Amino acid sequence: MTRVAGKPAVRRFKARLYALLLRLRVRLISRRSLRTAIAVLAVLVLTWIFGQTGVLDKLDRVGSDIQSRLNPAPADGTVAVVVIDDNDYRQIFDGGIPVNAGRLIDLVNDIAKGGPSVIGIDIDSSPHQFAETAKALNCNCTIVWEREVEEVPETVEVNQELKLLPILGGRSDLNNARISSGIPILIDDPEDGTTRLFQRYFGTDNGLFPSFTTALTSAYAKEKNLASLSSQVSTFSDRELLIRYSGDQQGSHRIQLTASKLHELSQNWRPDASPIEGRIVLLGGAYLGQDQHKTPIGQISGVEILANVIETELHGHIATAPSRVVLYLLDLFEAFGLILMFHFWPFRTAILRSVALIPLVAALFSFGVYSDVAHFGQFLVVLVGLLFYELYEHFRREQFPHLIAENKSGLH
Amino acid sequence: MHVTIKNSGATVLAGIRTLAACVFFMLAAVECIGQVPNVGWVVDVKSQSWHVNRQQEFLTKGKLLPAEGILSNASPVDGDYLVVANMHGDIIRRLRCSNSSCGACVQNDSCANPIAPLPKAPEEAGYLSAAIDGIKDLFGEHPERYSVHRSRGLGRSCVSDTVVVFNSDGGGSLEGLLRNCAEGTYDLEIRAAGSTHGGGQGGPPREVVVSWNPANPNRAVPLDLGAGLYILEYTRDWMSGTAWVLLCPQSSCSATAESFNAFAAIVDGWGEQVESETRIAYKRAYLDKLSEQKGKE
Repeated sequence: MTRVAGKPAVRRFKARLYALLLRLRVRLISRRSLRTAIAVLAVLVLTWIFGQTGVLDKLDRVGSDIQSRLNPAPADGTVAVVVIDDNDYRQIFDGGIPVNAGRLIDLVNDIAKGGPSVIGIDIDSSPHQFAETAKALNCNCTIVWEREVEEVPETVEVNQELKLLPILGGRSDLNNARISSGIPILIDDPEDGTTRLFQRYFGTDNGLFPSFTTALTSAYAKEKNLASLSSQVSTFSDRELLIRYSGDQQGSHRIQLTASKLHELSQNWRPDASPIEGRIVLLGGAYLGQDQHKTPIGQISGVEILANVIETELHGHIATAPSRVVLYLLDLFEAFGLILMFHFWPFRTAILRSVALIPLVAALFSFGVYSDVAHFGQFLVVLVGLLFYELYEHFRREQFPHLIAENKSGLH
Repeated sequence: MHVTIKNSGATVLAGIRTLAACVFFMLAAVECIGQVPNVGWVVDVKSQSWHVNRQQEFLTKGKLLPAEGILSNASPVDGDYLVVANMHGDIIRRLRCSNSSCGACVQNDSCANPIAPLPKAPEEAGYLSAAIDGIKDLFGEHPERYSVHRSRGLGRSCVSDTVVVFNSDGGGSLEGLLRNCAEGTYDLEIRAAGSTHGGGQGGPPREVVVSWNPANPNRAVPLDLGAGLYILEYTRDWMSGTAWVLLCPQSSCSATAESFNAFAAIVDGWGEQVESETRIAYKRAYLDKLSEQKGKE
């Protein structure tokens, strides 16, 4: 009974299935579907070519650099910089810093008179001359020394085993609680040599070791009891972070003194009455044209880049550099979104809606990837390009039949 | 009074759009408002009646001062003074009071000049100028190629940019390169500099150890490198530095070497009037030009 009753039902089901498959086949090979497939393929190929030739990367860099030039400078002036310039180098350290290690310690003691919270010294203290002179340090503050590695790698990987050199000539009997160190490696973009990224930790033969700026920020957070800052810098990230450059090339927003100027002014300072009281003071060299780096805000010294990295950490709004895969997928996503809009909506509606949505989508992506809205130009370029492509396609489809008809009538 | 609310979908949608636009621009602008940058600080002060912008808090030594701040003394007493420096430590205001009023000192005068507000903060880049700079970066040449990068050495770099002539055995004298260096062993790492017009820095670097003796500067050092422009990095003890070297064969190099030496003499003649990195950049740009010419030949 069941078998007899089931036969017409099976036939009906088969008939419906065939009809559905037929409709699907007609749809799949319809002109519209073919056009869509070609457009999708073109988008895939174009996006892939842009990605491979570095066009998207270049746009990304331009967007990031524009953002850096627009960032407002922090008004609190937490970071101050003391620079050993050409004159200081000749007058104070003629013959090199290692042989004049005592003068560097005097300079640190001059800074200490102003009662800073943390002093960061971006000068290699591994030479043996520092072991003797270090005992003359006199600071009621935390001192963070930069720590050189035996060989600076071409590229920085987390699983690297950098070999650390000692600080203070290998001396270890000083007050460890108030002395720490960090690796001062700056990460240059291999494409254009611009320093845009920083890293909080590096892999060493002793495990993960903090960067110089991480050690400094961490020491400052400890001195000021800033739990959230402390937790922020202790967060390990295997991704490189974007430096939030701010202010101008001269660093006009922060106190920036030469070593000789500092020596002159510090004679009049007390720990509770100085412009560097409670601040982070970075001491570094900018002599003989060395340690100069290309950055989005211009050519600046290494110590000024470090100041920008610390200000980035203090700002608390830190963006990671997105991977190429993420950027590629996002570009693909926005391209498909636009094509589908033109596929499902009438032409005029699609135009109006896409014009309204394009800036919003670009801004949303920018916010999602970089945590700011300034990178939307990068996403905007692809979307506007696709919009023009759609307009061209529409014009071609509309005009082509008329042109053929006109030509035919002309021939007859 | 009657208030009519049209609850149509279009109005709601328009409202949401406006709100979204406002939120978007507020997010972008929120950082730009409400903060006045500092332009200086108090170097020295006498009396507790100096104020900035008529705030209640009196000025003390080391206090940071806002841009365009107006300095005043609420109850001047003869001998009160205030000294202000800019962010680079240069004195920008010296104010002194008599019993009746205070004034700005210009050198050693009577300090009766009107007190001008503190300077403005440097103007931040506008959206338009930043965008134009970005476009320039996208399409422009990059003269920074000739400047000194990633050189974090301690001591004074002793190597000089130069033209090195190599003989048929592939050896060359490094006198021009090491003439300012002390006697000793130097580890040199030499890599192709590539071209300004698209070429990259290809191939692994060549490492050469040189035992340099200034008493015998013309001793040929085996280099085994082809003609072209190279970036040389040296290390010795705690010293390190970089130089650009144009290598060319003996048969066709004398005019090039002479031309560069003449140019280098002019650049070195500028002395301290021009910063050392600028002088280096000029020499490197000229070496690049010579290299390009040799390539065309």
